[in-house]
Amino acid sequence: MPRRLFDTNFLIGHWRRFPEDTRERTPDAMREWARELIGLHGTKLICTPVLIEMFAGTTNAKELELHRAYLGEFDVIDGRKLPASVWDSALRLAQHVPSNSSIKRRHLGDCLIRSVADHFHCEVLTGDKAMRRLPR
Amino acid sequence: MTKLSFFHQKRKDEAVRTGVEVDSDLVLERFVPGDGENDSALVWYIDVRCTTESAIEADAETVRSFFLDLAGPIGSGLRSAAEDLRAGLDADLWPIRRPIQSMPRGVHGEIVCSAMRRVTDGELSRVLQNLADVWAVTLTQLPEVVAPLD
Repeated sequence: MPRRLFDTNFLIGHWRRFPEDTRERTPDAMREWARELIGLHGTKLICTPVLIEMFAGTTNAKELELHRAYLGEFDVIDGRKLPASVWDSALRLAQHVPSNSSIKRRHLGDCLIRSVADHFHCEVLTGDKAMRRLPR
Repeated sequence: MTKLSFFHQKRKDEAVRTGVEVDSDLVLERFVPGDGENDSALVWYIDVRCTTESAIEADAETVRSFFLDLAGPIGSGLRSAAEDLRAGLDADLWPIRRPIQSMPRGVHGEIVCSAMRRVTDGELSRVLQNLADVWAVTLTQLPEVVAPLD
C-alpha cells in the first residue's frame, strides 16, 4: 500500500455517504462500500485507534454488525500491538500546546493515530474526502 | 498480473514522500522531511497506478526501468491531468482519476490524485506538471528500500 492510512473522520465521512436511497445497508453492501474506498485511494490501512473509535460510535447490534463487515476489509497496520514508543509519542502530542491559540484541543484518537502513522512511516488521510474541490 | 504503484505525497508539515510499490512491497522510497512541526496529515497525493499482465520481479532496478520505459505515456497522462485541473473539471469531487493512454500492450495505468482542504486545483495542477517534467530524474534518484535484517 502507498504509505497512507485512513483516520476515523475520513471513514465516518465515507460511511455516511453510503447511497441509502438506492442501496440497502447490508454486511455485503458495506464490505463492497469499503472496497470501493480502498480502490479509490489505493490503500487499505487503518490502525487500532480507528477501529476503536469506529466501533465506539455504534449504537445498536445491527449497526455493529455492519461496522464489522465494513471494517473487516481494512488492514490494521499495527496488528493491535502498539509499542511503547507510540504511547510516548501520543503523550508528547497531547502535551504540545500550539502557539496558535486558534488551534483546537487535541483528542486521544488523533494523538494516537498520528503517532501510529509516524511509527510506521505513513501519512494520514484525514477529513472527509467528499469535500468539494476548491476552484483555482 | 502485477500491480505497480508510484506515489508522491505531501504532508501538512511540508514533508514529501515518494515511492514505488510492487504488489504492496515497497521497493523504492525517498522521504524529504519538512521544516515545520511534525504533522503527518496528508495535503495531497498523486499516484501512478499500473497493472501488467506479465510478472514483474519486485526488484528495485526492474521496477525503476519499468516506470522509466513508460515515461512517455505517463508524462502525457500527468500533463493531461494537470491541464484538466487548470481548466476546471466537470466533476467536483476528489480524487480525480485519469486513464493513461498509449500504454504498451498488456499494460494499463491511471493517474489518481487527491487533495485535502486549502489546496486549489491550480496548486495541484502545478505539482502534476512538475512531476511530468522531472519524471525521469525523480525515478532515477529514488533510493532502493533496504529490508531490515532479522
